[in-house]
Amino acid sequence: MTLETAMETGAALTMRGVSKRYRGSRTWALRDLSLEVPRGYVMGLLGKNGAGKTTLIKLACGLLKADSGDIRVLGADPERSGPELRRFIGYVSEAPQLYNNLSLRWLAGFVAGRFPAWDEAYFRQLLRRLDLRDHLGDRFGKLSKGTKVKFALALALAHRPKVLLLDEPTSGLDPAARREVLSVLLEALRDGETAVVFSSHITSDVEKIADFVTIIDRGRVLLTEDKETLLNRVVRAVLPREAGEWLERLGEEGPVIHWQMGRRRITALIGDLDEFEALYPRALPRPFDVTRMNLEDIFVALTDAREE
Amino acid sequence: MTMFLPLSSRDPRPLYQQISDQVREQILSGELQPGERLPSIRELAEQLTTSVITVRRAYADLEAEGYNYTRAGQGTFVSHRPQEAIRRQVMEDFAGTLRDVVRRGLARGLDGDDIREILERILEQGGMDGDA
Repeated sequence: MTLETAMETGAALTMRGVSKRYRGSRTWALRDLSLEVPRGYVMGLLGKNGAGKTTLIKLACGLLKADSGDIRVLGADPERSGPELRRFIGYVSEAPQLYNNLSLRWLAGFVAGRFPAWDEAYFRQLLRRLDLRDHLGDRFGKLSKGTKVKFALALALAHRPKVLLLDEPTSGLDPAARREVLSVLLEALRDGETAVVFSSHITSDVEKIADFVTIIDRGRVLLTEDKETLLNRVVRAVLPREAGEWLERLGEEGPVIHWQMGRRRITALIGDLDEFEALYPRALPRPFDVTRMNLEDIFVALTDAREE
Repeated sequence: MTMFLPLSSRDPRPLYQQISDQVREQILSGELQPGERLPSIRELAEQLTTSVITVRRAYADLEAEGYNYTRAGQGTFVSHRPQEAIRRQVMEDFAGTLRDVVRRGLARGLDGDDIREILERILEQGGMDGDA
């Protein structure tokens, strides 16, 4: 299949059974990882430091080679169709590296020349929205970390990529700048074609704009699903003490992640509310009280549960 | 068009519900008129800085309740609904909300008389905050 025909049909990003181990390391950076990002949507990657988020993004960009598994970006293999495919990818690394001694104005001109789809009017608009206009004469090396990321993001967006792969695009930014970055990303989605994959340890940013969430822990996918389903599925419940015996029998494979017997009631963390309600014995008192959690609570609950 | 639908992370309702509740309220109050075009899902997501999937869920819920309808290629519009249907819907929504609250009360050990007593008191105060 040629790159053009592949690109018309494929999802924004597909990974199937991808494993990666760095040379000399005894642990897997990514192990048997699978996920899919459809076009027109935002995928948020959550994971602690060292969970494998950066490795995943670099693999998708074709900057690293997987040991096994299959990776498709817009239907094409990033490793083989590298340079050609990269025109359609907007990549921003955690700590963008550009020539430190050159001005932003010079760098923008240089990058613009390399991309046929460069949109200068859009780039100017991005400079304004991301508060970068006053920095155009500054040398890249002089910028703060947050300003570097914003500038790299403007460069990545201005060539109108079909897939944006962003490693921590909002870290180091103040709340106003973070909001502006999120809003710029949502604007890029307007065509219904462009997809965004972004990693973050700021769960509120993921909760705000991601359509799908993938939680990675020590190289493995703990879950990957649409955000609304996830927020309805993982909940906190207050149960009558009589449920204790049943919970004991239910064991670890059931829909309950963790529970604790209190003096008057049981507090439980439920991983799958539908399954829990289906299994909940008729003989036990109802109703029980269920509260939704935010993404941060869910993330902590799931990653902590695995550590025990 | 721009709709003013403030969302809050402190609000216990999920975001999609905060959106659908506010749009529903605007339709029921006549702020949004029958036949009026609503922003597209992607437009509204951008305006609210929220995810596409969240707005889609809100619109789908409203559509299932008959508040709006989608014409392929043209957009989403506010439905024409008779007053009686709207009133029935308001009562149904309210019953749903009340059911959740009653369930919480029962789960915390209140009984029917307690709940009736509280409800009476709230009604006597005309729904305003009073000394509990």
